[in-house]
Amino acid sequence: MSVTALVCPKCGAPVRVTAAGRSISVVCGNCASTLDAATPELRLLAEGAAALSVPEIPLGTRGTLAGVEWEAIGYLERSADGDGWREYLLFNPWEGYAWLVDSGSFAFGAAILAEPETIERTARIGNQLWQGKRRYDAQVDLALGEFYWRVAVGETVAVAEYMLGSETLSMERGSEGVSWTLLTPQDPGVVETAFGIAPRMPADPPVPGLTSLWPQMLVVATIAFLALTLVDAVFQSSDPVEVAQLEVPINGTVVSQSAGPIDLPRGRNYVVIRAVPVEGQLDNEWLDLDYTLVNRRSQASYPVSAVAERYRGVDADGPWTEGVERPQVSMAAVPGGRYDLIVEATGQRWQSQYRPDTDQPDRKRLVVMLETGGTDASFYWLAALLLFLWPIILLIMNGDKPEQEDEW
Amino acid sequence: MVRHRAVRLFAGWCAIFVLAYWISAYFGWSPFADGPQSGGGGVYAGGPRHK
Repeated sequence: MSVTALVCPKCGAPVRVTAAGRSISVVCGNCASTLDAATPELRLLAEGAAALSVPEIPLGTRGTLAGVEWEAIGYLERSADGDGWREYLLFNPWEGYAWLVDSGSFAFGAAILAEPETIERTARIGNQLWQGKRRYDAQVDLALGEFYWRVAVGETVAVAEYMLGSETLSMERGSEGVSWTLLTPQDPGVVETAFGIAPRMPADPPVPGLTSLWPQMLVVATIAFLALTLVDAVFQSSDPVEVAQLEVPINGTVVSQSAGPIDLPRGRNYVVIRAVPVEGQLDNEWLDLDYTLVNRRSQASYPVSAVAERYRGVDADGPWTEGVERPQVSMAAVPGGRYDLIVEATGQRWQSQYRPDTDQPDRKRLVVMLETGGTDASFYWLAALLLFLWPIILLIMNGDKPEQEDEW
Repeated sequence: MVRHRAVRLFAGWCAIFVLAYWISAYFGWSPFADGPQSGGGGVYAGGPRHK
């Protein structure tokens, strides 16, 4: 590289111009005055005003990135909306200029000479389509070294960023025209090693936002739900069997009936007992039902109870009804074996202002159905809910989250 | 497909429920069963029953 050593006309400090003949301006490293690099005497363009800071990569430092040796010849501190970052102008006599952007991590910026085609929020290069991500105004807060344009502190350019994968296509529009730069993130340690600066603490690996994982979780939940349904199908219950019929007087008298044998084939069994009143609905009446499964061999008993009830009436809001007329109860983990089912039923009438129809029979016929071997539908749906709980929560949170950095 | 740690944890979460459901179905158990109620497993002490 041809390096020309000159003197700052403002403060007399030596000024180094690396890309002599190509650089337009150079900023004195001592007094921050901007000098005209195109003139042999480095004509003073603007006196330095900004306080100087020392670049982490000293200007003049050379480093090799992707097989090309670059020299840091210019340094900018820029900001937008209060957020600052640093940019190094790199130079290679054969490759020309490139940028090294330091925003906590490093990105290498290569100039794009062919202007991409922009349509609304996209930019196209060949068959690559870049999506617009951010637009902002960036200003120069500090400049050191030499540049291929007449740099000035306070200079503002309009920036538009387009994303494709991890790369960013940056368009800057300023008084010098439009320039496009392709920014490629550099792996941790690469730039530090290349330019001999202290290694930075590796940044936390990019963690995709938890809420963005909902599609993957939805797939997992769906597979699990299919497995759940398969289990449910394997343990399908038997068809309901009518095991007893009773006539229950609606006067408080206990009616009892024994039904059997009932064979429970598995080691442990899920048993569902359903009572179905026939020949007319309950009418402001209820039936207390006590079921007991009694093992014929061991006489072990397994009781459960239910209530069949139906009430109706009329109030200020109009007619109303309530009650479960066909109660279903379940018994879990009943040991296998041969059983009898003892059904004890008591019928009662609810005394209310509403007078029941006088032609209602005072006995209710009741059929008791029983099925075995199945699974609990409530448990099935609870498990299904728990499977889809997280994907649904994350989906909702993802929908609520404002799109970050989408400042187009 | 299942690359992220959170997704793997979630797959484990799902596996727990599928396994729990399979075990409960195999043993005829459910947390929502109505019975046997208190006294379950005792010896029947009265009332008619089939002989």
